[in-house]
Amino acid sequence: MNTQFTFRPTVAFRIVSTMLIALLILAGLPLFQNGRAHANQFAMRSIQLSDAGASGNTVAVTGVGSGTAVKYRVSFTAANAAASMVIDFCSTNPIINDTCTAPTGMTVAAATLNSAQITGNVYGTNSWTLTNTASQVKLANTGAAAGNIAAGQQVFELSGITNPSTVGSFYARMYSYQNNTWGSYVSPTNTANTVAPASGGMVDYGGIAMSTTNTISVTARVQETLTFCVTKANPTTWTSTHDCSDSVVGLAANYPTLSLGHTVTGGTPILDPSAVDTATIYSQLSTNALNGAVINMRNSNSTCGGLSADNGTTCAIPGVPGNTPSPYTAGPITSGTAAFGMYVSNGVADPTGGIGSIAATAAYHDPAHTTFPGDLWYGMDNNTVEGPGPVPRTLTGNVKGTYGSTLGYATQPIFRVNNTYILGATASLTTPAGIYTANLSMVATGTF
Amino acid sequence: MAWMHRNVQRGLLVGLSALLVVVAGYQFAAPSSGVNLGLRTLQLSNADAGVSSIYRMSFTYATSGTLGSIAISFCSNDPLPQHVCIAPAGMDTTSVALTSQSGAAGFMVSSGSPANKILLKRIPTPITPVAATYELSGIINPSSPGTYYARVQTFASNDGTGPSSDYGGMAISINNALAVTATVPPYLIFCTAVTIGSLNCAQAVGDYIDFGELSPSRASKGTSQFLVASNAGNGFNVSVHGTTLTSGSNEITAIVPKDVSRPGTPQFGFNLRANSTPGSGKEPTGPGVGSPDVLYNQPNFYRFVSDDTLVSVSKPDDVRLYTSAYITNIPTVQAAGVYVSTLTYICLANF
Repeated sequence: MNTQFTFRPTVAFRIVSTMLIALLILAGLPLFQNGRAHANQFAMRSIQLSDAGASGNTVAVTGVGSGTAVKYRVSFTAANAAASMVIDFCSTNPIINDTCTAPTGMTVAAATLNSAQITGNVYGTNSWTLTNTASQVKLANTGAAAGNIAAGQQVFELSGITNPSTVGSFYARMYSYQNNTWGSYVSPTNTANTVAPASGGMVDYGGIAMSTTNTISVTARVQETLTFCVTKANPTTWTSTHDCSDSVVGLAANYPTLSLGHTVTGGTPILDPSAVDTATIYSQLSTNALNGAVINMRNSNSTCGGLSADNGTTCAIPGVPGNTPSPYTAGPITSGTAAFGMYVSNGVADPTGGIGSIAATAAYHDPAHTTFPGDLWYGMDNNTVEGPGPVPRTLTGNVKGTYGSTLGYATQPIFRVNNTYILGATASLTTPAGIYTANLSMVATGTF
Repeated sequence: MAWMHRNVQRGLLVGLSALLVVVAGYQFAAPSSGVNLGLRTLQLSNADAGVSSIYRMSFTYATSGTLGSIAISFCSNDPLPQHVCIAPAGMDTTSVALTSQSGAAGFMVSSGSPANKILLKRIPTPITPVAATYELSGIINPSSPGTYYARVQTFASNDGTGPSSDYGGMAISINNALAVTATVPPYLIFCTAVTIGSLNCAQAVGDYIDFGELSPSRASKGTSQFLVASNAGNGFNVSVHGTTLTSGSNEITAIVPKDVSRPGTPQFGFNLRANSTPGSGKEPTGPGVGSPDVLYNQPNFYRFVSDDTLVSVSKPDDVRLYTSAYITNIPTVQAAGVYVSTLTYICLANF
């Protein structure tokens, strides 16, 4: 049986065209530039945008992503010298002489040329000028011929461009001319591409594709954090997480309940004039508060600010009077002279990755008297009038005040900073017998 | 040729988009749904779990516009307003009161909010960025220690509805209370002796006073001492008990009421002062502040009545040394004999 082969010229032509398209697409398709006979292509050509956001978007009104005030960095390798060039911006295609529709929303009317040289000869101080419309830039060398575009790489920058307002591809068509009046260029569809360069035709040409895109909003939120705990367990004994969630901190035995006193013949520790009895607790503070944090302390005996045996009506063991009354500063406790006070160490970063420090205030820390037990000064501020604290927006006062007295503070974010507190007390011969108590509320406050 | 153009265009679009320089990128921009409140802090008067506290909230408004309400939510999970808020266990704001406000004022607490939320409302009025402070009392802290969060949002509406103008989060910490206890045991220091040195009962010496040979022409004298100190909250008293000088059925009359020394008359008595007639006795000494009872507190006047209170102090007193100065006078007809008296001093402390 004979099989007839039917040759269909139309189909064949389509196949060949498609193959040619595929083969020549990387070469810049010189065969499909209408009527180009004399000019060369710009090689290595590109236009880099500083911002690809479509103008007029609602996500970014100004700045990056707004598509306004954009810089276009034009780069190419010229094959021939030229004294002027035209760049047409089209939404249709980059094909020279083809229909060119100005991209919607785009304007280069206010574009300016870089004044200083980048690469090559096209720059403002080299006598190159711009003549702009909404979708076209014309550059010309108004100076000596030595300032013309020469064969080789040229890089210049156009500033103040507004991108198209539509998302998608748009194009630039560039052509250069020998004279500085753009040769015989008439319009994007009449670029004098068929004319010899010496007669006003284009010298070099090239098309470039660009794209605007949607502006994507990205938000990353770091939440406010503040972790503070008070415990009887020394941070050096914390074994699991080394922070306030450490299993050692959570043990009931380490809750901050303290009994001040010493045993005489066994049994209940007692307070008497023979000694200054002490107990130690610890705290750890972590916060990302930008402006830092304070640790304040308030005494439940809000009438008298010391240790009381009658629910705060009187404090027969008063707060230590301190070294100076105003401003109040830490002072000694002498055995036999009834007093109650607290020493606060400067806070130091935990060895397991702690960051920052806490400064103990002078009311609870005298750097010249920090030797335990022989030379340690204590404080229990009953004097300071409430006012602004050492960290913005916080208050400080005395232990009887609403927001308490500041023990220490940090002026910036900190992480796992540990403080040591030593409470001390002694009774006098005239301290009435009784069980003395005080609840000390320690409050950490961050300013974010 | 037209066909060729169309295919070329399509090919160019595909190829050039893929191979030529294409500038595109993802742009990043800030959200536009409200602005962060600046310099925000939430300071508590008491951070103990489960107690009533005052919350002092400060921040700086960021946006100019109309302000009608402030919504404050307390959450145990995080401070992000976009997330579901888990109410802190035990927290109760239903009795909150707005005790002070400054910056942008005119607010009142709106009733009917859940236990973890507070809505402050006012007649919507314009504001510009300003620092503000609001003090809220009567808030019951969460019942467990830990970190908790406050979410603050401002609204143009006066009921917390609609888009928020500004927002901000704050973190606070609730802790176990630091409870301090100290026991001061009761004590009573009391001793008697002929002499007690250095205000120390360990140096008490002697328990026998010998008046010697009594004479109607002169007074016989002697002294003893007692030391007392106590932290009894309600004080203490010292009293004397016993009989006058007695020999069988004969006695020397006790001085009642107090009187000066009268040689030749039957007298037995004492006081707790330094005397000149006769010269005997000392003033009370020591850091304590107690003083003799009025009946025994006058120099040269003497008295003795069993069960009399010699010293009475209404509060704790430091160490005090008292000297009892005794006198004895007899008439010419006093019966011969050895006259003896046993005196007991008792200190009673009232704790």
